[in-house]
Amino acid sequence: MIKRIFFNFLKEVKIGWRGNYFLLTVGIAVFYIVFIQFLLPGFINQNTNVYIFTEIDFEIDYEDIRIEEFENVFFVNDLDELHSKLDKNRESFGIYISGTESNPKVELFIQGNEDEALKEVYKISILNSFGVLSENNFNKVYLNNKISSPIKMNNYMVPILLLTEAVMMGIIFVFTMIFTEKNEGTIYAYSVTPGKIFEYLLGKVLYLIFLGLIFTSVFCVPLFGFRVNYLELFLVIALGSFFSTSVSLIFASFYDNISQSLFSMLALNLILIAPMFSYLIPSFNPPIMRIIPTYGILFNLRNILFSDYGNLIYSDLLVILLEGIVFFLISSVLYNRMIKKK
Amino acid sequence: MSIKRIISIFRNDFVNSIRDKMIVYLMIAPVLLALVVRFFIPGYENISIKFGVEESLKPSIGAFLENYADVEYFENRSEIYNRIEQYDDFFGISTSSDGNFDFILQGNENERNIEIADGLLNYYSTPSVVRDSLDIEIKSSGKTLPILATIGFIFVILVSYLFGGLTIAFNMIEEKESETLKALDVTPLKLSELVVGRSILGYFMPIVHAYLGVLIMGFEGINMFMLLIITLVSSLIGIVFGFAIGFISSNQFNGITNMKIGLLILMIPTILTFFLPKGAQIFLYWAPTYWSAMALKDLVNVQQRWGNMFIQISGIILTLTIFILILTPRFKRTLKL
Repeated sequence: MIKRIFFNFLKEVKIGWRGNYFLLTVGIAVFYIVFIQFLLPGFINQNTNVYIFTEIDFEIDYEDIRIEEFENVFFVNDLDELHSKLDKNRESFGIYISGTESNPKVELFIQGNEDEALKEVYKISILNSFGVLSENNFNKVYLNNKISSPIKMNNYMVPILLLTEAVMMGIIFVFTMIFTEKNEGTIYAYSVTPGKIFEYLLGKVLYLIFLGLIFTSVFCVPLFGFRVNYLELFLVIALGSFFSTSVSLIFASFYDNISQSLFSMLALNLILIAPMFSYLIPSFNPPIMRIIPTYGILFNLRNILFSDYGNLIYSDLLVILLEGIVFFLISSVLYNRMIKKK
Repeated sequence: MSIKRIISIFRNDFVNSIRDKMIVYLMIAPVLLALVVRFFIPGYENISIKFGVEESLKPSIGAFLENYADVEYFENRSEIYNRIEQYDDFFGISTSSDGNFDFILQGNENERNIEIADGLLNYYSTPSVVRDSLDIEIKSSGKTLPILATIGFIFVILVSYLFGGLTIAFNMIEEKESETLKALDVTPLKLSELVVGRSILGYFMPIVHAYLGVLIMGFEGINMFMLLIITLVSSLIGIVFGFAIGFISSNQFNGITNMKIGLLILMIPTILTFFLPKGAQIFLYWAPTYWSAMALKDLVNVQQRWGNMFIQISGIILTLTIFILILTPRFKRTLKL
């Protein structure tokens, strides 16, 4: 059995080699290296502009109210100017201070659709910045070390690219492989040999894992050198690729050509890359995202590449492995049935 | 250019699309996406600062934090630890051995989130007389949409025109494989007629989706005429993308590879439009999808102006023209019409 799986794998490698798939994989990895190193900035200045208008007859010690915490502070001459500045720059906010020394009043102008809880949080942040609140005496307990240095923005994008290319490479390729073989009848011819259909499918899965690992090596070594635990990295990529290829095998079994399957293929892609938004926007983290298996894969990739973020979570990897096995078994049953029908 | 020939090309594609249900997918996919976006992404900005609090502290600090954050309760400290070890930013509050409170962090949290959490604890620790000594009022104009709602809407239109383009591409590849395209070579059909006839469906569908998208998402104050213009020009991206893949790819295998690379090149700038600061966006000027995303972003945030929109749609047209100029010799070689 092992021998047959190996030869199936070898067959896929040969076909892939002839079809220049290895060259393509290396080419995409090199394109991404250039993209990460030269096109994306490492650090970005996301300071929000703050416009302040004061209408008071007392002096404010701005150092006292820690105004330097807001970067890019601009003082304006009247409320109209404040509003027109805010209108021109939708990411900025405005502060209007009025009243008397004994009874000062602060108005904060923001521009989003904030809910009540968030408005309250902003209020508390202002009180905090203005030094009104006393320091809390909670003991800060850190479970791990604090992040030693901020991660460069361009490097932070690497796990997303590993997810879309190395882990999800199988999704699109498996569709074409299956359609070609359905059209050429290879899959039906194979069914009359002593080989089992799951061995045939496993050959494809292993080949796509192999391509994913080649991509990972070519992409990550020039960017991170050898300070990354490659064993862990390869483990996550292999499990992720096994899962995504198995899912795609199921989808591909229902169609005969690319045009018919385009919708499912793209929908599957969109669902599996959705956790990217939780990754890029840390406060967006609904439970629905967390049940998408690629969520765990993406964050585990982050933890491996930037160890400050924490350790690999093995329980999640086990879940992905089990899901992969279940989907793979389902796909084997489906292909067996398809062949019998024929 | 003969209208009759254009219509027959369109009719042929239309019938084919109905046969393999493509047309249904083409119409439904973006609407489904809009519904998903509407359903899962809140229409208002909120922060999800999350706290795990020991059960015994529920009446005191737990009840306080519930007003501002998502609070989960845990039996004991080790359960809180396990939850904090998960991937997201999650803070723990527990009683310490000296009878005080512990504020438990993993150490990898977003700095802004730590600041907010710390501020909340400061507020809790400050007597109410002091808290109320400064009168603060928050005025929210509601003018800026949550970033995810904007991205969601742009994706609806992007999916609509790219999907239209992909249908063109794979129809062509199938015709190439069945040698129908070569047969067209001996008919009076001109390249321009083929392009126009084949593009009609993919060109007009995004308009329907754009208007439906605005309705589903519940956006207000949008200049519908501007939306029409931006969508019409953006649809060209899908058409050029579709023909490029259709002409370049010799078979489905090849087509899917080119599609993957093409989607990558078009999608990345769209996402980066939201995450790169303005100064760094010069790196994205080459991408027609960047200009399209910018135009739509300004439009849904009700800050689009005619002059600005003109520059953005010129960006789309100019970048597409450059793509077409680069690819034309290849097109002609593939199909000597």
